[in-house]
Amino acid sequence: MGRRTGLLAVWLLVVACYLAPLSAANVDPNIVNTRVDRKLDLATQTVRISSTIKFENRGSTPVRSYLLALAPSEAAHLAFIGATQGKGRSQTTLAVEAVAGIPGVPSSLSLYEVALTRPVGGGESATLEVVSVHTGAEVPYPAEITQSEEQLVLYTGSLHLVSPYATASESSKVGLPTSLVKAYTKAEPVKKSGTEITYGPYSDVAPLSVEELRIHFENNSPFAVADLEREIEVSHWGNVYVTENYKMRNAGAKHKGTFSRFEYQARPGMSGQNAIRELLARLPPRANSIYYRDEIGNISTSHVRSTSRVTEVQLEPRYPLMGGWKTEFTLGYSLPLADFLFRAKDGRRVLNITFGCPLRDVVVEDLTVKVILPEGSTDLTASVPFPVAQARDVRLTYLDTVGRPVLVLKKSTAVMEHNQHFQVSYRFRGVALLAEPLLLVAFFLALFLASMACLRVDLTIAKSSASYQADLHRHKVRDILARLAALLTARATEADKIEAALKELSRSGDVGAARAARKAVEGSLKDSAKSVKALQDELDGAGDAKAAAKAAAVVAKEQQKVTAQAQLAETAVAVWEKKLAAKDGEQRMAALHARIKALKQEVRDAIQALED
Amino acid sequence: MALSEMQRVHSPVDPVLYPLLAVVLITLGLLFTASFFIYEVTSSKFSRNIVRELATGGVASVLLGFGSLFLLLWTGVYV
Repeated sequence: MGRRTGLLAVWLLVVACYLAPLSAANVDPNIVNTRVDRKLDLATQTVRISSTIKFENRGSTPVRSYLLALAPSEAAHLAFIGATQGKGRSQTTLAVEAVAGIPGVPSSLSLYEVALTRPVGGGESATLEVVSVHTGAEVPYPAEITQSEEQLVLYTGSLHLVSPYATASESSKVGLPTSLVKAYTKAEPVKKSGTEITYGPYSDVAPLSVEELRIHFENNSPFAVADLEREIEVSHWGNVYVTENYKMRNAGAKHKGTFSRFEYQARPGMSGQNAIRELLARLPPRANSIYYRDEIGNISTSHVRSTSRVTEVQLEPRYPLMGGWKTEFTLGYSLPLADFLFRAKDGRRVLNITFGCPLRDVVVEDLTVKVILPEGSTDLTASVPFPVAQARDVRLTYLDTVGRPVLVLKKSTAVMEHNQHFQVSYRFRGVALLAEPLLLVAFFLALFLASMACLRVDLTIAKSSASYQADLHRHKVRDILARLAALLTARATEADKIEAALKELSRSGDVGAARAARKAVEGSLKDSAKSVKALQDELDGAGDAKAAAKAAAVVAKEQQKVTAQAQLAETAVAVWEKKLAAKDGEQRMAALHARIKALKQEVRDAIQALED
Repeated sequence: MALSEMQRVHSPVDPVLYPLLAVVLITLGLLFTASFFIYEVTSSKFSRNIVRELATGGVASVLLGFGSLFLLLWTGVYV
């Protein structure tokens, strides 16, 4: 029994081993790289390897994916890997995914699977463009140099394209910044001319052949390495603020000995060759309010050039950054909202802005992008074309109550290739825009209410003192007199309507209308007379005899005026109804007019006197 | 959905108008404030009218609130 199970296990193992190579993520032995052209760009601190791979499917089943491998020395410094197919407008970016545990491939090699746009059938060929970017692959050697020395670096990479497939023909071109090369791997055929070293063509390179490539050469381009924190603050009032905090260091050969400013200034090309002298930031077009400062304050050495496609900012650090030196600074700018914020059909807002560092030739070791959205934004989602770590935070700034939602995106080792657009979409209700002005309104309203409350508080201690009581009494009387004055003024306006009606009568001759108007006016005057009486009573109650007398005089005068106006109306109507001779009527009316005029003036003066 | 099919989002008020709005609203707001305080100090406890006080103060605070918002935006403090 035991023997039988043992046999079965062995048999199963054999079957498993036989079936394994047939699974999808395996090395297809039918793929052959017919021609590989590699270009290694070593001109700056980042190494860019672009390979053009032409491969052929010599089998019969179509191939959907292609495997790429990286030697350990390359994989350790990998910052970016990408593959494209096609040229010019038809160029498409392919998905590249790390895979592991493929039989027949040593685990020391890193493998990437490229998904092809369309399957390559049996006997067909296809061409891939693969770009990989490596940082820190060029090590300063010697590690310390004096101010007058040039910087020498040692690059360690792979001589061949490490491929799980056999390669029929392969050649590599290495581009160097200068023609000074101390040493390089001599794998024949190899040719060096000027700033270029050509390796190959090598024919029939075996799959997974790893050979080391070492070049020791001069590279004075600055090794600017930074930690960067970008804050992108969106305001729906029409602005996107960007604040970038840099912690930068020169990762090149360390500066040895003292620094001579004189020598540095006098021999610019010969002294401090690996120093970071200036930085170039490429900002989006229409960037404005650009500032550049560090802890001490504004750094004035900067220039801005704007075109319709880009805003270029040239910055000089406060001091030249010699090898191993550090600096911290902040670069900030504003961008117009309409260039970056969009509204989808379902109402979601979409922010579309670049992810990476705008400075050229800077390797960012730790990149943090904080997207600060307006208060009231909900349901935040980010879509970044490469993997990033995400977190959430809340920020309280100007006129905030509950705080603004912050989306924190983190990426380590970001290079130029990561300077791609990414999208943050969120929900926002337009009404939430009013929260800030309403907060300000509430603040001012609170001030007014506070001053109203203050004036209402009576802080007098001796409320029974004579002077306080006198003051209270004076205010009371003054208030009654003011109300009386207002009432009498209103009565005067009402009474004037009689005269207006008489004028109308002389024009139209409508006696009935004039009578009706007079009746209405007299009615309302009778009503307001009650109010006048009430005010006078109130004044009597207050016990100010002088004020009461003054008021009584005015009221009497006003009564005379109203009576005269009534007489005038009566006379005019009588004349129209022929009850009175026109001549007598004219005379009487003229006298009344004069009397009314004089009385009006007296009443007016008396009302004014009441209020004083 | 592609970005090219989406609508661009603009500010509800054209930023060009911020200086004008700030000046006009704050001027009017200060006039109402002046009127409010003149009334406060000239009226006595007997003659005070709370409706009039609240109306003047309310109008003044709305004008000053929006005026100072546009002042902030004009000076570059995008809230």
